[in-house]
Amino acid sequence: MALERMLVIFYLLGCIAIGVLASRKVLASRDEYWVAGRRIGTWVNAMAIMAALASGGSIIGVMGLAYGRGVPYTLSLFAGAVLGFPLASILVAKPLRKFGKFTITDFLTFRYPHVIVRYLVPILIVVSFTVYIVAQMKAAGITAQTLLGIPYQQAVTLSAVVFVLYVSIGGMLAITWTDVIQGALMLLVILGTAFAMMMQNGTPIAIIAHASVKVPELGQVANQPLASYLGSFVIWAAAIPVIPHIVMRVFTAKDSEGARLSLNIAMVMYSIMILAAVMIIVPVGKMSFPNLQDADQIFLEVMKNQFPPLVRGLAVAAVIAAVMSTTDALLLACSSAISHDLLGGYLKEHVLEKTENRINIAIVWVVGIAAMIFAYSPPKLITEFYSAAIGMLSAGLFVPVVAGLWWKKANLFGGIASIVIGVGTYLAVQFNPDAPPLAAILYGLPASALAMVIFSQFGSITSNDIQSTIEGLHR
Amino acid sequence: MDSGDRWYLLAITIFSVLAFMPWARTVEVGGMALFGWLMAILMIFSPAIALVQLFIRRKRGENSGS
Repeated sequence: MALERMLVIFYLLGCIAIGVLASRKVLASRDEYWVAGRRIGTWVNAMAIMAALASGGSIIGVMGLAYGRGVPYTLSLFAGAVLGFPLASILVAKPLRKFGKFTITDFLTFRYPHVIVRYLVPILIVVSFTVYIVAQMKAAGITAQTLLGIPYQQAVTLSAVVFVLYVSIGGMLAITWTDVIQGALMLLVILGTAFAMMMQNGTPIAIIAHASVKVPELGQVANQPLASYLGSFVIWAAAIPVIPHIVMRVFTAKDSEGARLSLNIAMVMYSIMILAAVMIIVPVGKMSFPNLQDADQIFLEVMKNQFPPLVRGLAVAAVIAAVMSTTDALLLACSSAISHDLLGGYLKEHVLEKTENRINIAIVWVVGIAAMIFAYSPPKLITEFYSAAIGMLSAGLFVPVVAGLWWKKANLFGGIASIVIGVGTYLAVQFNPDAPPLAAILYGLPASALAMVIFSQFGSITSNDIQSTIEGLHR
Repeated sequence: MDSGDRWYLLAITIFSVLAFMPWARTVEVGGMALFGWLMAILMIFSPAIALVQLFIRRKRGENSGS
């Protein structure tokens, strides 16, 4: 395992070096730290968006989900994510980029100026993203354990320290630079593995046909209720336009057209990678290892048993890259939710910008360490686990953001009600033991929309200042 | 909202609704439920069409500007 470990150590040191280099530029101002000075080019931003979305879940989790629940179920979840990109591109990219702030909370508190929105939205973001980060840390932990022989807790600790270090000091610029490298590495490993398997087993269509004879459940939809399929699809379709670590990428683009192009290019790369993983690697892996106890281990077992050490080393680096590229963006979004959204007003008035950025560093460490401790007791099927957490954000934020941009009658009452009722309904269904997995969004989202329509009939209409600013965002 | 965007949203919504119809889950093609294939098609075509649409719009914008 010496070669694999060398590759991974080299890679981790590279990430820290990038953080150190970026820190020289970013610690001077808020704009540099949170949105990399708003000058990231289209292709770089596209790769960074793809890498931010393609998490440990997209390599370890997506294959685990396909292995455990079948290919159609997994594709319904990821097709939802892919569909979310054009929704984001059409519904929010242009106006939010024109809005020109840092976070989704900035927009919501502008559109619905109330203390409930100012505090509730960042709290929702911190809670759901901490869950998301825990799932990523599990992916890093089991990868290093299986392919490098490092004990699970040590692997989680090591990876957590590295990405917390470079995010905390390097901000969005370090994340963008590392994400580009990490995205390329992920594409290389997944597409390379899939290509090698196609050379041996034929086209994806032939592979699936062959696998369906040996393991027929892989291609069937019968093992989950329809509500779970629809729920997994809707969660991600509604999440992408409002999920803070993707929205922050919209703010980093040079202009609104660049933001839209980046989102769509990212989506093409993401689709190709997911389809290669689910329709080639998983069926071949399932035929070779039909009885794994932990479905999330499938990619690692394939790597361990069917590829040489150099490829295994690259695979570990790719999984850790996937984990890091998402977790770093999540950490930054979490940190921004606390220091910019929750404490921003106070910090702006009482401390210098440079001191504020040092506080950001401390917050990134606190969130990272908290998630690391939770990750010591890992959940099963990480993709389903973090999708449930993201569902809460979709249920609470999708309607107020989209209505806030596109519906003139949306007012303060409607905004608050749609957030509170959307999240409340989602949680009530999610914690009902009889509810099918990921189905809660099918109740939360309509409840949020209904609340927006009904409660917007009450209370005062939105002020002219807000209305005219919103209208200006569409021009 | 641009009319191209409106048509695009309508088309992918209709496609998604059709994909979730009961018949798509029971019919099997090449070892996998038709639903799975439709999701795969959605993953390929929705980004591709959106990208083509953006490039066409960009080209039109450049032409009108020149």
